[in-house]
Amino acid sequence: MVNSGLGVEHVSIRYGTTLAVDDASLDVAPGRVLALLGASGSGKSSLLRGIVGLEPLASGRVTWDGEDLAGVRVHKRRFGLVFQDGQLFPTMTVERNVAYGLGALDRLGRRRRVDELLELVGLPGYGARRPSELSGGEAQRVALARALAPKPRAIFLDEPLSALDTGLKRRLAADLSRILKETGTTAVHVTHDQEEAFTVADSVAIMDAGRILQREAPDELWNRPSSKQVAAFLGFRTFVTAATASRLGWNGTLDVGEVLGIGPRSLALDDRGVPVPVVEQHMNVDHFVLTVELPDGQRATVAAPTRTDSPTVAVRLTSGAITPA
Amino acid sequence: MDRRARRLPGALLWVAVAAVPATFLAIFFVWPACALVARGFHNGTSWTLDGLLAVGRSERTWRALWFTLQTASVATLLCLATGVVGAYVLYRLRFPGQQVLRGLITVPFVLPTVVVGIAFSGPEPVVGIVLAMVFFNYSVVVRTVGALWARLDPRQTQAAAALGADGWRTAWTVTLPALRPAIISSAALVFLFCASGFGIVMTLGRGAHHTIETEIWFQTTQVLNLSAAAALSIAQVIVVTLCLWLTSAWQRRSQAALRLLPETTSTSRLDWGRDWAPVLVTVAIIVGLLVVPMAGLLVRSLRDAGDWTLDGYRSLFAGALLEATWTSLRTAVAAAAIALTLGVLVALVVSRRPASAPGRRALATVEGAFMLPLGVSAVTVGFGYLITLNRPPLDLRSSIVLVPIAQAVVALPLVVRTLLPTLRAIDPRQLQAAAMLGASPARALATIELPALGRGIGLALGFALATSLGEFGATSFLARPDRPTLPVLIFRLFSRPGGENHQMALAASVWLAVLTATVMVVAERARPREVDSW
Repeated sequence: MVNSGLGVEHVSIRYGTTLAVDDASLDVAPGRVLALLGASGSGKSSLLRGIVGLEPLASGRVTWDGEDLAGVRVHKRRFGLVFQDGQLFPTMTVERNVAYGLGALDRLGRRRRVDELLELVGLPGYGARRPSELSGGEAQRVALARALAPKPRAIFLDEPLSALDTGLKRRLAADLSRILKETGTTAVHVTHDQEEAFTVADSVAIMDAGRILQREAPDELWNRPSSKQVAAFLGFRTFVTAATASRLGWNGTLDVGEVLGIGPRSLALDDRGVPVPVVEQHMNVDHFVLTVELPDGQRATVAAPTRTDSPTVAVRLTSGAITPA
Repeated sequence: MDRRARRLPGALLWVAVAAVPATFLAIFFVWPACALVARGFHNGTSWTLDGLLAVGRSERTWRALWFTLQTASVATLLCLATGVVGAYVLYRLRFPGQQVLRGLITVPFVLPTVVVGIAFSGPEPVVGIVLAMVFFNYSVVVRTVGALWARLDPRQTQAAAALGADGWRTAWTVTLPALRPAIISSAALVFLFCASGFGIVMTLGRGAHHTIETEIWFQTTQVLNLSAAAALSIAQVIVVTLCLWLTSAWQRRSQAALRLLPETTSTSRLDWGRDWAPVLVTVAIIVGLLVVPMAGLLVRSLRDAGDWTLDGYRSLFAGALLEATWTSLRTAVAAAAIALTLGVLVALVVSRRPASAPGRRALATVEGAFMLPLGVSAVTVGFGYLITLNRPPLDLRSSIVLVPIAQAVVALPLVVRTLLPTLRAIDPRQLQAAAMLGASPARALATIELPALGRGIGLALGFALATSLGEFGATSFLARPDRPTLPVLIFRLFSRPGGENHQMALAASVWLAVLTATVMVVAERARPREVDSW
């Protein structure tokens, strides 16, 4: 019989009178990676801690391959966890940190497994170092190696890249994605960064105020958010009707009761497009962002390679998120 | 529901662990103290409040109480005024030799009270008493306030300066309010130590001045008025409980409210043009209050009738010194072993982090209970032993274990307060990380918590040894006449008339000071960063 993986059924978590997680349900098949995406305070970390057993559940249940884990204590669940700040043991070397979960192996086997994992995370030869000698990125790689070493049934990552700077974050997200795929590890990755979520995960669940709003594959989520709230979270902040959309040159169709969300990359400059007035412009990292007024009076942004001097630009609506109105 | 059932064995195990030190304290602290207090309410045939009322009407009681509060308040204020300046110099500034100075100012804290009393003896006994109290407790303020000050975000004061506030206004409106928690908690602690100082007042007051503590001694041993002693003990317990409660409340609040940085980022290099005043004040304090009295003690021990002489030392070494040293060391090792064993257990139990609010409250109460010996008169404990442990089932009166046990009771709070911060500093997620990697609670304890605890053991051992070496209050009751410890020997020599006895007392004081200071200087080297209250 095939392992059914992780199941989370109607889980709620309370802190005193506040409901941090409200009736959350999800499942992760073996070898798949789920990203829990939400703003800070949305309950995503609480849900993660509830799943691994570090927070008591107010209601609901967590299962692995159909078995209820309520009676299984944290250290018997065979789950791995990576904290935002690594939480390496400062008194131990990198090698002893990584080997901490390898109880059953003999010394040679342990050594071999540690080397194998340090190699995997791109830090071969770091075994003798102390955690205090590592940079933030290195520490997170070691934390990942430590969590993967005992071959956990599933690994849980609690904003593992949030404390790192942007460039490093990109590189590590790509590495993380590769490592999880190579090792075929089932994973739940908590983050507030959509780019990170889409890089690492096969599917993304959006959380807000303790509830799971939508759970979808990244491209599907991007194209068809289930509500304006989800769309807004993904950056679609302007919603236009089918008429306005087609006036702007969009060639898709909307059903009744649907609107099109316009995000930062939905509009493109196009000489043959529709002229719209420029309201404001400012510079972003490597391009200009023009704020334009759409024919229906709403505002949206479009990326431009240079500053523009003319009062209008011609734009075309190339894509958008089909969203229930 | 079954979750709770599962957790129970773990909690029960910790209750069992807590039972060991709790039983010890119940037998060797609560029972003797309560037995003594209860005698105060019994006139031989029935229970009565007469004794208590008589004490309340006695002018002598009120004089002792008043004298205690006055000297303790003045000493506390002096400690604060000088200690805050010292905290700035020794913790907020950076200069070579700073570490050595920080260690040096801690030494007085563990010097035997009898020795300090003798060092401060002079024409004005009250001034001597107050200065000796400041001498003892200066480091408590410097350490507690300094540890916080060193980690305050300097950008707060920079922001105030950028808004146009001058140095004084910044200090008054930004820095001092930020330090207030540490100032108040150290003030409570210093007041507590001053109010229960026994050895100092015994040696300097010479019967003319009494604090609650020496009055308890006087009432119990000299006039055998136990109801008076009982009433005074109760008064003392009330003062102490209030103090401890204030301390812990303020400490808890201080930790939550402030943004703290690692020490290295917030200190600044010594700048003579800016810092000359605090530096001079601190130098004056360290030299005038710490170095001069001890040097004076040394000089006096070497002089007799205007001549330099080693007679005091010679007659000491010929006589009782070596034996008393041997007794003291043996007792101290036994006491430290007991205090450390129990202290480790208490620290482990008290540092648990129960998920439920009632659990946390219960634990806070347990912690407070183990701190109580800090403030209950050692005299009460000592005399309590004499009236409770003198008959079956526990007849230990003539046993040599009684002295180390009493000293362990006195040292236990210090040991716990030294060990506890090392455990409290462990990020709970470290233990969660261990559990996630499959470590059972026992393995997490062994691999994460015990190594952290181990870093405090050296200092705790030093405190226990030093406290025991200098303990006088309880030991003065319990030491067998033929086997005095060093402080008891010193007090005996000091109370006897005759130049030679006086000379020997001074010499023995120097000897004991060197002994304790050596223990403490060695132990200071093992001080973990998170232990900063004394």
